[in-house]
Amino acid sequence: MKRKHNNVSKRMLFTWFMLGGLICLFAPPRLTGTLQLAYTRLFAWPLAAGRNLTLVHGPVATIEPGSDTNVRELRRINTRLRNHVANLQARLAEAKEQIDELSQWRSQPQWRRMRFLPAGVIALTDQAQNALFINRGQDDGLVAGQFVMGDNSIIGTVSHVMAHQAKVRLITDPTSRIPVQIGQSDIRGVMQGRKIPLVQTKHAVRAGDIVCARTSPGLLEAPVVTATVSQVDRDAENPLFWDITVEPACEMAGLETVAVMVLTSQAP
Amino acid sequence: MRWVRFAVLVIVATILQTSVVGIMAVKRPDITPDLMLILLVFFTIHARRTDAVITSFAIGFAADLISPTTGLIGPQIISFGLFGTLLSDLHNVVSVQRIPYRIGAIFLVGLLTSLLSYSLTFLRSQPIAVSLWTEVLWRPLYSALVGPFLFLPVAWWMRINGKRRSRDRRPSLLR
Repeated sequence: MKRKHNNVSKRMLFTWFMLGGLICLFAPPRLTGTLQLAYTRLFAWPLAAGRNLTLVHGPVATIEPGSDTNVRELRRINTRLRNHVANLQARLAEAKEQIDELSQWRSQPQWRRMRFLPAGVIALTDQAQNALFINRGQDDGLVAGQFVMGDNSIIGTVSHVMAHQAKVRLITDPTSRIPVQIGQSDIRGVMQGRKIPLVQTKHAVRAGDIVCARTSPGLLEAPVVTATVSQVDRDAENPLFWDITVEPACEMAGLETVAVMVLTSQAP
Repeated sequence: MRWVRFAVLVIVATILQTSVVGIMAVKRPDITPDLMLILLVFFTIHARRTDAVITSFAIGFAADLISPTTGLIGPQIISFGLFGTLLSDLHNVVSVQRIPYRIGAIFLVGLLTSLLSYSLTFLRSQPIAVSLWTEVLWRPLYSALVGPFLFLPVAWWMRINGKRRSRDRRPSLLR
C-alpha cells in the first residue's frame, strides 16, 4: 500500500504544537477551565466508579505530621474553615429559630404594625425575679416604656436603657404599673405587681380570668395577655373593691429569649 | 500509527490516573506512578519521529486536562512536547530499549518535565496544589520502577512488536 507522503516536516510540526501550547498557557483560565470541566462531565461515570473503587480497596495512606510545612499549614487552614462553617451553621440555626418565633407574632393581624426585636436574657437581677437584663440597648432603638414579650405574653417593660443593654422591669415588680383589662368584659384597672387594686365588686371577676395589657398609643396596638387571675377576695380595708391577685402568664425563670415590641412608623 | 487505539489508550490512562492509581500510593497519597509519563516515554521510543512529536503533545494535553491545577492548560503540553521530542531524537543516537535505560529515561524525562511544568505554573502565578519534591523526585522514581512493566500491555494494545524502530536518517531538532 503506497504510503501517503507527509509534506509537513517534523520541525514545523514541533513549532506549531509549541505555539499551541504557549497559546493555551496564556489563555484566560476561564476558557481553559471549561475544557477541564468538560472532560470531568464527559467521563463522570468512569471517574466516579474508579474513585469508589479506590475508596473501597485502596490503602489509607496518611500524611505523617511534621513531614511538610505546607501540609501543616493546610491542615490549620482546614481546621479554621471547618470551625467557621460550624459557627455559620449555629448562627443559621439560631436565625431560623428567631424567624419561627417572630412569624408567630407577625401572624397576628393586629401586630402587623409592630416590629419585634429579639433579645437574649443576660441575667435575672435578683432572687425575687422582678427584673432582668437583655442584650439589646439604645443602639438597637430601645427606649424606656416599651413592652417586652416572652412566650407570647407581656412580661414587663423596659425601665433603663444603656448603649448595648437594657433593664426590663417585670410585671411581678411591685413598682410596675401596667393598664390592664380583665376577661372579655370592659373591666379596667392598673396591675401593680401581682395585684390589681381598685376594681369595684359590681364587676364579676373570677379566678382564671385572663388579664390583658390595654392598648397604649405608641407602645401597644392591641391587647396582649399578661397574667391570669389566681385569687379574688373582697378587700379587707374597703369591701367595695376586690382584692385581686394575679399570676404571670409566662414562667420567668426559664426564659432565655424575649422580644421587645417596637411600633413601626409606617401604616399597613 | 493506530491513532484510534492511541486515543482510547490516552483516555483510559487519564481515567485511571485520576481515579484508580490512588490504590498504588505509597507512604503519601500523592506519591503514585504517572501513567502519562510512562506513555510519553513509550511512544517516543517506539513511534516514528513525526508521530512521536504528535503523541508527546497530545499526552501533554491530556495530562493538563487532569492536572490538579484548576484552569491552567499548557505547562505539560509544552514540557511533555519538548522533552518527548528530545528523547525521540536521542533515541536515534542512544538506544533506550534495555530496561535499565528505560528506567533512567522515564526518571530523567519525569524530572525535567516536572521542573519545567512547575516553573511554567509558577510563571502564571497559579496556586500549585502539589508538593515540589513529590512531583520532581518521588513520582518520576515510582513511575520509572513501574513503567517498564506497563510497556508490554501498551505494546500489545498498539500492535507494536517492541522491536527497536529503524533509525530515521532525516535531520532531527538536535542537528
